[in-house]
Amino acid sequence: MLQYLAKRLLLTLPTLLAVSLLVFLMLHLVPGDPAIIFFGDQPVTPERLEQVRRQMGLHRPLLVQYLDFLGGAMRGDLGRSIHNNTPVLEEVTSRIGSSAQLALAAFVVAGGLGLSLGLVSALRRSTWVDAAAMLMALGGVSMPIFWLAAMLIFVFSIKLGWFPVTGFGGWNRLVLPAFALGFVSSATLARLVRSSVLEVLWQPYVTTARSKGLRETLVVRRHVLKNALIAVVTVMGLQLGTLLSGAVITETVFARPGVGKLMVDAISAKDFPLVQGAVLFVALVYIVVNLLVDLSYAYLDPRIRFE
Amino acid sequence: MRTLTRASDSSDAPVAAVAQPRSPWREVVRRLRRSTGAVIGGIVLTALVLAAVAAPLLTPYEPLVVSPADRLLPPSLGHLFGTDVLGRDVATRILFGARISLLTGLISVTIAILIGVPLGLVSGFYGGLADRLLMRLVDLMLTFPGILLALVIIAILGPDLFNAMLAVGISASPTYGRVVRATVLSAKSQTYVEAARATGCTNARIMLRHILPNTVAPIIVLGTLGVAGAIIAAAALSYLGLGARPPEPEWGALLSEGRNYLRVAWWMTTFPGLAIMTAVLSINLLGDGLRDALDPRLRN
Amino acid sequence: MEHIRRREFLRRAGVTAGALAASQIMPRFVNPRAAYAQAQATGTLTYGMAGGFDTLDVTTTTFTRVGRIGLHIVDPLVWSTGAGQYAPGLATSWTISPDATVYTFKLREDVKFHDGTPFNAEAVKVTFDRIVDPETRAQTAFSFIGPYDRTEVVDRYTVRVRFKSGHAAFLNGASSPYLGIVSPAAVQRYGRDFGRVVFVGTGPFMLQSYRTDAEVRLIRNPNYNWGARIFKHDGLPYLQSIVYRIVPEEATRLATLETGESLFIEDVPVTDYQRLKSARDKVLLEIPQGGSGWSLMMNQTRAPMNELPVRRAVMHAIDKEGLVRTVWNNIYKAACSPLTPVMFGFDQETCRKVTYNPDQARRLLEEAGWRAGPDGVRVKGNERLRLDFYLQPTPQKNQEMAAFIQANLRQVGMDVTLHVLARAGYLDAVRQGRHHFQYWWDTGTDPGQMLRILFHSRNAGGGTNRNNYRNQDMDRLIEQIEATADPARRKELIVRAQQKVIDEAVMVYLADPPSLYAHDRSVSGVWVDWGGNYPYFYDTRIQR
Repeated sequence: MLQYLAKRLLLTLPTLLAVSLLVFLMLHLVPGDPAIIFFGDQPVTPERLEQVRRQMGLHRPLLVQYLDFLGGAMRGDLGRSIHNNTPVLEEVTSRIGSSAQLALAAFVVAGGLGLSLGLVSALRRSTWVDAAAMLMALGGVSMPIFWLAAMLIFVFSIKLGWFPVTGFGGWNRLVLPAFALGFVSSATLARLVRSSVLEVLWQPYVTTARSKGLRETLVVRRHVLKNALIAVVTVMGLQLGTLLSGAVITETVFARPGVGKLMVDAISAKDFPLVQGAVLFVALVYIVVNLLVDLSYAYLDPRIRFE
Repeated sequence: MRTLTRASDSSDAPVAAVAQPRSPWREVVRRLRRSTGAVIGGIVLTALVLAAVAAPLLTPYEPLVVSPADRLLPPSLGHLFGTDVLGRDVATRILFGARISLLTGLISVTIAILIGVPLGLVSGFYGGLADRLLMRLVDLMLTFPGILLALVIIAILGPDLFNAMLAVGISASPTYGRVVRATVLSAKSQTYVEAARATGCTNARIMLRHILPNTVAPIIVLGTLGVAGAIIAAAALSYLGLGARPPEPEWGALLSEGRNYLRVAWWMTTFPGLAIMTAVLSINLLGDGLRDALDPRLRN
Repeated sequence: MEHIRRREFLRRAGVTAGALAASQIMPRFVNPRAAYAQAQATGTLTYGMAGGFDTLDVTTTTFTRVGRIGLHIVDPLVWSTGAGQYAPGLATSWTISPDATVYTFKLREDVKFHDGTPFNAEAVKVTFDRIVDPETRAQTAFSFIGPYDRTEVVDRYTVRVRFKSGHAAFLNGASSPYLGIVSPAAVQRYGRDFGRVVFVGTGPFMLQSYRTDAEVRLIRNPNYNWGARIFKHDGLPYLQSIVYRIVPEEATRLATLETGESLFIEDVPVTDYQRLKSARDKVLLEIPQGGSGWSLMMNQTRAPMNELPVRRAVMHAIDKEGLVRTVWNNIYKAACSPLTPVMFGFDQETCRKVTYNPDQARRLLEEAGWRAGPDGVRVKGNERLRLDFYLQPTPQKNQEMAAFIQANLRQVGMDVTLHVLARAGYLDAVRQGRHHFQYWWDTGTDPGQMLRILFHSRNAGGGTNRNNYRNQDMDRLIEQIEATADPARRKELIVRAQQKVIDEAVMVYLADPPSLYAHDRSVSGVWVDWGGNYPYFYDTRIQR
């Protein structure tokens, strides 16, 4: 087990390295001179442009720039944003709280909705309940998120006055964005839970449990639910990264600061260090979460062992 | 943007339908027809496609012609879904937009298949170093935020609907790679493959003639759902201003155009939104039906 | 300390003890509307801001929004009360040399920075020197300070600013937040963190906290008693604090005003103008904007934009009245000149010079050899009249106007392709001159500065003059305007410049915007500069 963990953690390093190299190369393929972007629509002379380029460190060969970044990253220094001069680490960490909050809340919404809809529809297979539950789950995946978000604001903030429209801090400010973000993820999950529950329901050990006279609720709780959880954990592991970094639209509509928005803004400004820092961070979270997911299998399914 | 996830990855799609002895496709169609959802989905989708094809015949208006005098008219007999801020008929724009949006889905899924399937096939069939390298690549792509990939691709190639489709396709391709690989792995050990090998078939022949057909079922399922996902992803890109080139009436763009008029012209968002929902919902219903029909575990 | 301040504030704001008690026993989670009502009682103005920005340091920023916040933290040397009119700020009086190269300011002697250090001539010198220091990378401030040479400290409270050439618009710059005076001690002490973690001036409010992309909190400066004479009082500001919250999505920002989460919002969407105007509990502020309205730059280095008839045809083919009616809900006005009507020297004649006349446009194109092709698009030889329009996706109105213009130009046989690019790609394209068309829109209060940005050849070839218009007479005219302090003479020159660029069809002027702000009825005493850019809350009260 420990050995497995050590091996997995060691494998993280080359992945992160590859990610950082990929980001670096890709960003350099994007047209646009960061110094020009820095000046935007302000008047500028060629001399000043060149000066800012030097200040940004863009005059150095690409390889040197990359190795410099890498060297810094090893020491825990991700550099400074070339536009604002703010430390990248600070820019990222100042948004983690809000992003993590949103991701976790959305995760809970998605998990709760997905699990219950999936479970209900599987247990009432081929009835109207099944159809209704699946249709509802599909509804989530069929709506562009900004539309859903706008309607949530209109109904629950403006018309009913139940929740504030924007901001962070306080659970009531989290409800609407978490629902918008979570609802769309719940569809995939509900379908997955449904199919994995259906699968288990016919397994010999469940039939055995039933024939031993175990009550249906107990069968579901003891055997079926656990199996469904594996599906939940797997999908959510894969989605957490997206909930964290891909929530840019939710963040924009509900005016929340977040890593997703940071990343999009940084890309459009070609702020290399900032993009790199944010991506590395998201990749790291993704890797760690999925490691946890894999570890949780051992708990959820006794047949799985690590060597 | 969450549709750029590879959420349908993992066991969502069946790694199944391995070599059925008696005509499997007829069986599939039979079971598909028994599924109400799939039938409804199929009918609605067909209607949408027909409407998209026949768009110019169904409306007296042009999708791009600006008519300031008819600005922001509410739905009426003349304009069933009202008009937008530049006086264009919303219903007409939705009809013409159907061409773009449905095509968006198809093309991006095709791209994902063209990239993902060969990767999965090679990786699963040859195993060894190739497999390890390719799977590492897939892992890497999964680690990479989908939105970043899309933004960067669009930034490099220029904002254009095709590039957006390319971005969506590329970021979806690892899912196909993984699913195909899993299918190949299970097919490889089947007796008829070993038989083919014993009779001296070349690797290429075995791959194309004996193994590839097995992957068709899961790819159809994934692909159907992928079309729906791509439509939503394109809408998200349009929201960020990086999707269809205006004034093209892509559905997501229509929805995004209308979002600032939510309070004064509800029809500008409601109808494109419903169009997206209808299309995505029907495609998903069809996809779900297909999955059930193709999944041997759900037989009986 | 905190406690005393609050009580003192409550007394000033006239809030009774009963109200205070009620607010304290209010349960933590109640209907949010009630919760905001409580916030109002404590004198916090919540401001819905349309976007994020780079830094809080007014010296280095490029964002008007930073000026809006910064004006509360720094005090300007002078205040501008109208085009070309100035009133004392930190400077009590000033003299200007006839050639506008030397400005001498007498400063207030009773002013302290938020960090306790005294305000004096040295602080002015440090602030201005810092603007021109290349390491600072100042932009907006850099262009406001113009041909700066040096600042001399005459005595402790007298300062002399020298320019290399005439800079008649310096008072205009000095009245902007960007030349506001910052604390030399704090700049020295915090270095790169100045403007990011701390930002210290002499203004009525102090920076309390700043969370990037989220919110900026300002708190009342407890020592402030040097309010400028143009305001209604000169002691402490009435508000306890101001919270600027960044709400980029238009509809969301408006929603925060309606729910009471924001008491004041900027960039009110024109779509909702009527609704807000007739709402009984809201107030809409509409101020004609200074600067240059929405306009179209035509890149003369890319054929066929080098042909005068083609540019003229574009001018006549665009239905400005229709554009402002459809896209801008008739709240913006059709534009005439590169300067908005409130600007000093705006020429009313320009409105008569260019009319919407598609037939005239067609005639001009025919005469220039552009004949209608089979698909309606004109051709000359092998060349189609195909034009590239580069724009950014936001604001949404960008795309609406572009679609409108595209349709207009199609009517006279021009085929316009819209290239919607994110910032990096957009700037790359237009700075390199790959465009035929691109938008311009600028706020400001100095006509000379506007004209230089748009038309001076030094800004061509990758700068802000993306017309790439190069004309020596024009350059000389702009330089004369900048060096001329005499109002009558200055006005004459500005009028000449406007007429010249219209005769040469350099740009198409589309729409002149008002600045639109809205606030809750409970808010009163908001001051906005005449250019419409800087809502200022020193005199502001919140009354229930």
